[in-house]
Amino acid sequence: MHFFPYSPPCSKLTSKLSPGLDDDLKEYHLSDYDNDDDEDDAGVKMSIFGNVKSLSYHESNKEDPYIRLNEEQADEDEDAEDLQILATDNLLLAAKVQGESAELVAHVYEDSASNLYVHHDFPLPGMPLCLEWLDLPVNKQGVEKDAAGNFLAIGTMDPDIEIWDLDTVDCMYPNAILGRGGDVKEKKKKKKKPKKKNDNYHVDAVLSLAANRKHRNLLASASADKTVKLWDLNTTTCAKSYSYHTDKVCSVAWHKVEATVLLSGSYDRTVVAADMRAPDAQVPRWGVESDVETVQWDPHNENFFFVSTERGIIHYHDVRAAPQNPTATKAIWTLQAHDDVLSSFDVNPVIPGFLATGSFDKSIKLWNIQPTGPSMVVSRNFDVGKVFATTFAPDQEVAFRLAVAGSRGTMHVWDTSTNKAVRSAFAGRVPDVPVGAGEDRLVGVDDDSSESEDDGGAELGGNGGESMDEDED
Amino acid sequence: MTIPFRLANPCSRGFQGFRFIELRPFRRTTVIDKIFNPTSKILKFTLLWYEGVFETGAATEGHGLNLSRLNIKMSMITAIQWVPRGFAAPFPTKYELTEAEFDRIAELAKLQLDDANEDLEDAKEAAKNGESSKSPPRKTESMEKDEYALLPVFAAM
Repeated sequence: MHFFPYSPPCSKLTSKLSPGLDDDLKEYHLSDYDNDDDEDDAGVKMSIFGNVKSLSYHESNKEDPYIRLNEEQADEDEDAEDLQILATDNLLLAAKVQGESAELVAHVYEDSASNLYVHHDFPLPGMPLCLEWLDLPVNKQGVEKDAAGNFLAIGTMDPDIEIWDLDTVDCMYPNAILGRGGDVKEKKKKKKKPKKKNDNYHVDAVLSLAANRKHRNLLASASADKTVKLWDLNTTTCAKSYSYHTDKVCSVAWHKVEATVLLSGSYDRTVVAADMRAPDAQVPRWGVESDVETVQWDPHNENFFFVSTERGIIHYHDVRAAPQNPTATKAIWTLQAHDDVLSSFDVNPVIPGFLATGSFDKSIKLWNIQPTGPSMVVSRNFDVGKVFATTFAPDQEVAFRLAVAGSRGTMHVWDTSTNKAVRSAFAGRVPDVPVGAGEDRLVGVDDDSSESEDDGGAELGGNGGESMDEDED
Repeated sequence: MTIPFRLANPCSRGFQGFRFIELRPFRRTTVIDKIFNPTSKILKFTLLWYEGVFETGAATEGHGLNLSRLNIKMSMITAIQWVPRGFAAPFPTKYELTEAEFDRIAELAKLQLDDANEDLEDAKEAAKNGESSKSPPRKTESMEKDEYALLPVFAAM
């Protein structure tokens, strides 16, 4: 009786090598057990895909009898349902840095359900510094150039500005790059030249971006290379470069009505309101006591603008009353809002006089600006770390929602209309609180997803994987 | 700023010798502490602060150089942006890689590679000419590799 259908070719050899093997056991070829049957078969070609001919291929899944179409269709429908964005949803985009990698996380904010969840994300080339949403499609195939779009311009520590399509998920590359990286020919030509300030692209970090809502193809950028640049999104090239600032330019904002006037603030401690059509004209200039952080026009009064500074002060200016020289600047009012850097503030686009400020002192303050000046409504600390961003939602229905984020990597949407002090300060303009909503409704991203992301982080050998909580004090 | 934390040897699994050290205020790549540990084969151990990440560099007998990232996450959100209602497509499209798209990406990737190589060469040249100490801090990634090379732990190799 043979257990094997044939005798392996090497069996003779092994029996010679082990002559003492019991004859009874021999028939089981135990000594050959570990041997590869083909070992001595030099004549046979070994091929990993030896049986490849017996497999059948189908050009598409539709022709394959083993793939059930209905199931696939159902899967796709389910995926699409997961990604569906309703007309009552807001997208809330966060530029996130984790370790040395950076990504843009697109959240969906569903107000009626108090729900904030991650929709999709994509990687960023460097530490992100500013975001600007664009309603114009850039380099999108099959779409009219002036159709409505949903795009995002991103400024990072890299000098190039990237433009991404927010309606496409799982994308790895931007639709357009404004700068040296985007122009292939330019790049090849300039290969060995040193990176100098120039008229065609930025050579240092991009600190602020502003899209023009009237001339939708125009995007202004402010850079650490001390220039302001104007980009044409139709051609994705730089239309004009401005160098009326003598230090890093950190914030830009377009005038809502006079659509060619750009407000810019700089570390040279001045703010300029310049007409972009007249690059050589003398520009009106205002001075502040320390480095500018953010500038913004008053959305309810086109002749006024706000400036926040490194020392925590907000200045309110009349654009028609430019001083003779920056040292003679007189503000309508100034406000010592925080003791530390006033990194971000926002004026509510719907409710006049409603101001939010965020600072490196980790607090967020809400203000009511009255004809006599601003008065504080409430001060809160939402444990987001140093506050880097405070922004009101852009739509009437969600006008009281304030998004806050900072150095702890968390983001919250605070429904300020559920705060008692806000309700009394803006009485009459506050909608009724929905039934069941407690005081200070705060919506954050569910922790589940962020935890699973964290698990992917590199671990130190042994017990070193134990992480440490960041302690900022 | 002082950050007390436990430091572990990245090279041996069973290592228990934690140490508390203090980080002094620092900027960019800074060597913070050196530890000689007689119980292991580690010759030199260096903690680096590097663009928002803590890294350890350890030179060990027979294993060459080990770099590992400490599990200290510096997570932050630097900017946020709302999108008004009604602009986002109700059903986002999945990204599809067409041939034209592939060509575009290949070109972009090639340029990035060229750039990195170029910067690396520049950095090498600068190091040769002994100019690296004179030149101001630089920002591109590949240049920072050059800064690594100047650290004592690497010099020891």
